Amino acid sequence: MSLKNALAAAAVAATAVGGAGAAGAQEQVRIGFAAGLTGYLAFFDGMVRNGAQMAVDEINAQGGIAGQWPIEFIVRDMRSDAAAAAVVARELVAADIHAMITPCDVDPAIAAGQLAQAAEIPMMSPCASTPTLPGQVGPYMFNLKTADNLQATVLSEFAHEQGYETAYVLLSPDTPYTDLLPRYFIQAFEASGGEVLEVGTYGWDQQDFSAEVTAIANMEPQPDVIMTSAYEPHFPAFITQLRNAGVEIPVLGSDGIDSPTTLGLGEVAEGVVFSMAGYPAEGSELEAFYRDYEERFGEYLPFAFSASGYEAIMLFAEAIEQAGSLEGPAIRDALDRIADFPGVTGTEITYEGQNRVALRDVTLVRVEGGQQVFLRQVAPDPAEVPEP
Amino acid sequence: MLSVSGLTVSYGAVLALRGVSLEVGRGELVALLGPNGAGKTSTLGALMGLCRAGGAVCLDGEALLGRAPEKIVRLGMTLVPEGRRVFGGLTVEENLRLGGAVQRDEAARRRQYAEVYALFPVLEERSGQLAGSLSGGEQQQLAIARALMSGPRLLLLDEPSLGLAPKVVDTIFGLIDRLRASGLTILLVEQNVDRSLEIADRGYVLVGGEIVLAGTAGELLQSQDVQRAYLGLAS
Amino acid sequence: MDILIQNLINALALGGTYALLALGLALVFSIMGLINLAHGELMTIGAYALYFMILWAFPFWLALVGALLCAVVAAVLMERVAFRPVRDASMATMLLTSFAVSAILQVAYQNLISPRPLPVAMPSFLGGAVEIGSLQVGMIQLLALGCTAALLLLLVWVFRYTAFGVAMRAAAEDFDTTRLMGIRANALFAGAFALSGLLAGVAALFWVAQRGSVDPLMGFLPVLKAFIAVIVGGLGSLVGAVAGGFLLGAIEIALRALLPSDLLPYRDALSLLLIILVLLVRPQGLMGRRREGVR
Repeated sequence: MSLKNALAAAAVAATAVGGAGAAGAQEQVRIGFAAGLTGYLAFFDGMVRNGAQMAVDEINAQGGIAGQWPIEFIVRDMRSDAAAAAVVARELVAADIHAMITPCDVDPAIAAGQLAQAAEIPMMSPCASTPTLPGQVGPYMFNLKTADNLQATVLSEFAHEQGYETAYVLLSPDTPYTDLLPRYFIQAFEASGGEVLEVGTYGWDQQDFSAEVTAIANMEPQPDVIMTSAYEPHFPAFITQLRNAGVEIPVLGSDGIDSPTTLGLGEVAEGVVFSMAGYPAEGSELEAFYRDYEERFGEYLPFAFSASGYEAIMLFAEAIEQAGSLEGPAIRDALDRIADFPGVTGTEITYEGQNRVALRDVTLVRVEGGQQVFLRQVAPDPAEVPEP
Repeated sequence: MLSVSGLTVSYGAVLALRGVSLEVGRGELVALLGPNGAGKTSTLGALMGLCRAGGAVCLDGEALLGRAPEKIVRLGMTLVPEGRRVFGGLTVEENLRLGGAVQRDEAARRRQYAEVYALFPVLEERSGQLAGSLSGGEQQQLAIARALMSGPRLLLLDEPSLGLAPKVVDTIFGLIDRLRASGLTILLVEQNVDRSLEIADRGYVLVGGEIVLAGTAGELLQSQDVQRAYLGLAS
Repeated sequence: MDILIQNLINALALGGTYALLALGLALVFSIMGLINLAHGELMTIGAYALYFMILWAFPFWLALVGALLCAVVAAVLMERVAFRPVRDASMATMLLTSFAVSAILQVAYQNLISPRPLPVAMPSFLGGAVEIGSLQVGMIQLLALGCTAALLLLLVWVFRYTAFGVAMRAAAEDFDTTRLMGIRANALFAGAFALSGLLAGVAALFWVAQRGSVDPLMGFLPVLKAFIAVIVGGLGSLVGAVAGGFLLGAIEIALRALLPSDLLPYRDALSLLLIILVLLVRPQGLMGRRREGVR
């Protein structure tokens, strides 16, 4: 930067500050999003971005947060790469953001989160459901999605109700989500009298499940239910090979398979039950949200990631309004006090007393004829939820 | 029939051929002689389009330089490469079949087989055997037979006696002599000077990438220079 | 006993897919000296073709044929556009070229089709299992086995009895000398790529049928495995590549079926260790020859 440019920039900055000071109402809230706009996260982070943008526009149309703070939403591509996520987070922190949305996967969320944590910037993870994530990153990280232990508990309760007494659990130690969620399920299922007959594991780069399927087919006695938190591309491969080997044992999954891929698998996915954030029942707020989304982005995508992006912005807005300040610590404390906040997914969200892991309802659906069929929306019994 | 002038080949900065010129007339057996590393194999490689070369090469008036080997074979010039290079994993019959790949006409191909088998009876006996299991002499016969399958007008032979026992060398040279007698034009590259000049009409001596001597076989046989060209490099 | 036989079938089915891919890789390598890192993207093209043709309601058999055809055409185009210009270049140049082709195609799939997996629903008559005695064998697995066997037999016939096949074998052994037979180099390259594309296409069909979805990176992993199979089998040996594929499939299934659960996370490390052991005993690979008689 030349001296002349530097001077010009300084002058502009001075005017901006002066202007804000004079009007008092024109200071911008900068919310950053280190998003995987390319690479394997693109589908998920793209929906989060669109949903968040809808919330931003809605708030700005009403004059900003609390009528005085318009939002500037800054999105940068981290190419679905943890190292790039850290670089992007550093850029965002340097741009003086007041709050940040982290990428949809746990590892890049941690990489980006550590930088924002050091700068005391409150963060929201819209998709990562690992309840240990806020603890790993620090007091400025908040989880929004239905936490793994909540999902596991609801799945376990459902399994007992169906009369399933024994289970086979398939997990992969390669990511927290595919490792922890099934382990919470084992804990909850066994604590309430169920028996896990066998735990199978798969590798992240594994696409053939024939050996695992053979092991399941030859189990004596057969388990009543199979539980896994595998998602694409592993879940489609597993369920396809399982059903094509003639194994008809019911399968329980989690919100990772809340995607069009699961619904497009045809007969093999029929009857799979899985947990997710919210169901767009006819006439519900969530359905209306998905319709708005379709109108704006041209695609009807009834998957909770867009709603999560929307909720993340709304929660930040609520916290800033409560705090009445743009200071990081003040926003953080206000977020941590939020209780019974009505989310667009149709559940109330509570952070108070939850160690920054959202307490919220879990929805169960069943795949029937390529559609999600609503089973129930419940708040799990806190006594049954395993500790993170 | 074949006329070569000012042929140059270089490998990087090293000049392997420094302007080689030679002629092969119809029905002639011409020997290209020279010590190891003189550029004999490079000459044949350049003629066949296997390596980049400068100068001019004409086969019956048709310019060859810059053409692909497969095209040159179709124009009627075939090489029996150094070290025989038979396809060891293929049977004798398959090797011959590849040699005749340019023959589109089934009858012509059958005639070719008959001719080749008549010339090399041992190959007919071994037709189903893997070429890699043949003896050195048999492999050399196969390499020549394979080349003949394309029905060439001009046959290039690269060191056919290399690594063969003296008795087998006799057989091979006998065969070459018979091929010449049948009217085939041959350019023979050899290190074995005496045996080559015994059957050749004319000869060239190549040393250090240049033709240093040319003449009829008789002249060369008596030339002190020929002996010196070899001894000079050998000592 | 049933578990053993079933796992044997699993190993043959998985190994068969690796073998088809490895054969395609080995074919191109032995003729062109090119390690085609973009081989996996041919598989992905075949899989996408299947996805779209099913989506556009083509009859299923036509979708299968279309997928194979797409893989073959893509392979030939890949050779013509990307590899022919660098065919006389060094091995490193060709390797980098293939790496670039692979990266470009992956990005193209991500941006032009979709970055996420697309589901492929197989018709119902292909689902389920067949009872053979006391065994339950998956229909798709059975078909994969049958087709792989049939295809390999067909290839043996082609390589043994057709002019094209004999020329391919010869070119794999000694490319320059094959040209001296008057066989056109371009035809050999095109032929090698077409065949490798066909093999990748068939492998893609099995792969998609077994895993239910197509994504931009789906070709990477199986081809990495196939590449290991080629090395184990002996670089440049076609029979070796097939043998290496089956061996790798058997090792993977055996480890996954037999390892106690504490050791399961190490299965990939163990399978590579076994491969290294094979290479220590036979550095040239299972069927590799030390090259002789080549300048």
